Amino acid sequence: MSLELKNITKCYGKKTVLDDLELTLEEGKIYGLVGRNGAGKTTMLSIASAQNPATKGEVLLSGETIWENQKALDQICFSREIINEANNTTSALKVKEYLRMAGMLFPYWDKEMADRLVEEFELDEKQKLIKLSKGMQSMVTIIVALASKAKYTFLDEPAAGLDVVARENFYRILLDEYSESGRTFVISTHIIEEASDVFEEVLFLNKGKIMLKENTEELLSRCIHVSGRAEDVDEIAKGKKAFHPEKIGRSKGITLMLDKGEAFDKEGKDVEVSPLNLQDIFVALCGKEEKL
Amino acid sequence: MREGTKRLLKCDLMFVFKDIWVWFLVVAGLQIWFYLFYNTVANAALLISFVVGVCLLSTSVKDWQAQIRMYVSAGISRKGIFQVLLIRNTALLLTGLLIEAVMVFAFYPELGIKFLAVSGIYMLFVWGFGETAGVMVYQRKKLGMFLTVIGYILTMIPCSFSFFSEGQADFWMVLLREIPLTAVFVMGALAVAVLAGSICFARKHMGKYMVY
Repeated sequence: MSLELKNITKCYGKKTVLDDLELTLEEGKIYGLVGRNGAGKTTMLSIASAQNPATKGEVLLSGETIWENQKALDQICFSREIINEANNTTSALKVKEYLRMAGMLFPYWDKEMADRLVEEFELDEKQKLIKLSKGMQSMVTIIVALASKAKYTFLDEPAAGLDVVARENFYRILLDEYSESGRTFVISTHIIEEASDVFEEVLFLNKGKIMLKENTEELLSRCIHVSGRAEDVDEIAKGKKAFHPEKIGRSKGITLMLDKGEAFDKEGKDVEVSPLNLQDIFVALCGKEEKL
Repeated sequence: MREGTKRLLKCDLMFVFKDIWVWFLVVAGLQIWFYLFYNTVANAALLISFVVGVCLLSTSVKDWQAQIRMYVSAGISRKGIFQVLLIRNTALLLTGLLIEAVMVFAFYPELGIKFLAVSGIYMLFVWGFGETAGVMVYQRKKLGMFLTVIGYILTMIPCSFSFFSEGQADFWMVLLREIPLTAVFVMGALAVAVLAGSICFARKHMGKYMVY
């Protein structure tokens, strides 16, 4: 089973948010979806879960379109923010009622799990959703996502508003669930570094396209930061994929992305080589280029 | 009925019952208040009509304001949602008419069919009005909220007339006796046309509904 986004284009008026996007999400992986504000992460996830129609292209689950296909939609859950300004009915619900409603709507709902998570997150079931803090609302969204038991589960900024302890809790629960069920999770986040250990693969979304889709460890192993005298760095970078050059006086720093299996050779130059974390790589690839 | 539709119907009825219950309490409270302070009571059959009417209006608007968003977010197909909303509103309308029928045939047997016909027409109008207003609310058009408020006012007028009728001569009962059958037919045709138009309008928007 795989979920394919084929030539997805999404326009809001004259603005193109997703531009001929191609992506295949394989079963049994945790994907980290990373992109800048307005890159189209939520739009992509909402199209991948048929909450939003694409302007062009289609989404297929095991070769079948998911649009208006109840059988396919039963396998997908995109748990998103529960309070928005137009959503008065939901906000008037208590946590207990909201979860009961979710239990009725999701065919594979795990009530036991939902109850356990409510306890673990120390949520007051009798509280109205509107009275919950942003973090607690995120917890409810997480509970719905995990207890839905959908094969493909998408979470949009689940860690937003959560404190460090709650975030750690969330990552642990997510990994437990993943190892037990082998479900596919796509998690969009801005807290890249913290979540990078959890992601099996990362998806960088930039300017409406998937810029990069790669195994996290492999990506980390082939991205390095090289700094030293500008001439030496330029010499080394020649013919390689180089990003995000920074110049300070006569020194220069640059991010290099090596080819798969390629070993880095300093070529006898006096340069400093340091590993990068996921956040650095993202900034290097998607950040604004410095004009040198 | 499909499994998904059944699940949705169950969930949706939970919300509607809450709404009915609230409006029932409002009307019962008014009835008691008027009885205690003015020694008058409104026509109970007409109140049923009002409760169903106002629920049809409020749920139709709420559907577009929040409910559909919630159902689409939970992975229910738009076709399934639309089906459930139609089934639910039809069931609400018919249940209201059924309860009314029992009351009307017990207290005003001579007006029975006419009363039910006019009451049904009123409900169809309100439903159609609510559906159109709801879609406009979804489209974030100011006219949507304006129509909703107008809808509530228009829905409440027949009910309030009933409360302020003198003695046993209920304003609406007198009017019903006088109204010719042709007028009822014309109103009925108009109500059906309004509802059909608004359902087509809603269906068109439902087909491409997106969660913002």
